[in-house]
Amino acid sequence: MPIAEYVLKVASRCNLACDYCYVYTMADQSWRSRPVVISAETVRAVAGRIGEHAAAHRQVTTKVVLHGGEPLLAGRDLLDQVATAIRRELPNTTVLDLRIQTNGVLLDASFLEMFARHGIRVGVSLDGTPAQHDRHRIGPAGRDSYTDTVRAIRLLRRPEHRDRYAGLLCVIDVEHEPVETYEALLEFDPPAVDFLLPHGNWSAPPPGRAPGDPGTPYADWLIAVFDRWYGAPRQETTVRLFAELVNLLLGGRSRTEQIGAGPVGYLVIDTDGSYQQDDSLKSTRPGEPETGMNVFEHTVDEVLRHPDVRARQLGSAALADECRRCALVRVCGGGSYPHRFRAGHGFRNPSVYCPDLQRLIRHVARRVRADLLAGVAR
Amino acid sequence: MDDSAVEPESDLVDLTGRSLDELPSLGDAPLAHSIRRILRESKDTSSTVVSGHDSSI
Repeated sequence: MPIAEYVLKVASRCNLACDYCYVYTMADQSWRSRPVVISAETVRAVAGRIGEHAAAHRQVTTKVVLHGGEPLLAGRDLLDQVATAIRRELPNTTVLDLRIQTNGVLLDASFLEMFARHGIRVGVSLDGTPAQHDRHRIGPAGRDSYTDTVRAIRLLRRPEHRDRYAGLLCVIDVEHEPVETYEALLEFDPPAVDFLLPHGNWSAPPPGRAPGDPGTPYADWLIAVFDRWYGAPRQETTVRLFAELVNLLLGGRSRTEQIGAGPVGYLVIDTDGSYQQDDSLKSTRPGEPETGMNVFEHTVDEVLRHPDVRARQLGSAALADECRRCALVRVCGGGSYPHRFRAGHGFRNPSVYCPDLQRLIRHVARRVRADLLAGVAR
Repeated sequence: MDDSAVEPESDLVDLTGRSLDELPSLGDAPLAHSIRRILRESKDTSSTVVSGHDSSI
């Protein structure tokens, strides 16, 4: 399966110090030895590999997400060069879907004017109300970051920049009131939002989730938001996790790694040009994301033959036996890959969030089934 | 519609043998968006759906 999406690390450092960040606060600390920003030489090599792969597989679309650390730390000129180089190397027949995921602190009109020239769309990380956001997303010297982030979102919402606005990303804190969090995001009229489970696993459990405990704090939280979203008479925004869940329940396939057993179609490239299978594996153990390959010496097709990358494209065949026997497997897909990790046992385990995923899926299925049957009966 | 198009099938949601395009309009509700999406995607056999990166939107 060719790679359809690249997560390109253009900066390895960040101007915030979020307490849940998988890049800086968890098992892997390799950011310390990476180049602070991607070099012009690496940009040329990355662009060449992406273009070569798109041409070889006659790809209709290639998605590239400029990521970090905080990608705006790379500066406007370098990001301009990255976008120009990738576009130049892609075949004319391939559509480039270019995105950036930022905390927004440095976003200004000059960035947005350059993004408009390249068609770059902007996702912003926002965790809810001011108090909810600033509880985790901490600036230099402990300073709050909400004000700066919201200033960026307001800029994105202006008519001249509105096309740049891709959506909001929120990491779940089960101590926060769920509907209040969702409605705090809705205030900014986002085209899409998503809620991310904080990274954790069987050996380093996420907050509030004791491994093996049948309690479902994350499902309870998400169900409250789902009911608020799903029960609205008109769709106020797309909530990616819920939209993909409903799509899976209707027999479709998921476009997110959080749920569904579809093949993983993305690759991470770090600031030094190394290929990584998934940056969120930094939450499991040191070195776990590494493939030992890089853009200077290896093609993307060669990375696809790496056993760990192949394993991520096996779908249900790569899951633990108990997952493959589970009635929900086609929808759940074993959950996010890093959440299955257990030290000494690898990744062939159910997700540490298994009870939450089961409860959430069953709840959504009940609601959707009831509405569909009522619709058929009318 | 392409003859090779895959008919959308339900899994945990049992539609008692009805196909999704028999359902009445649900207006602008989230479920209506989902039904339109799955009907659209089931008719587009040229696209390959793969799982994307979660920490970006």
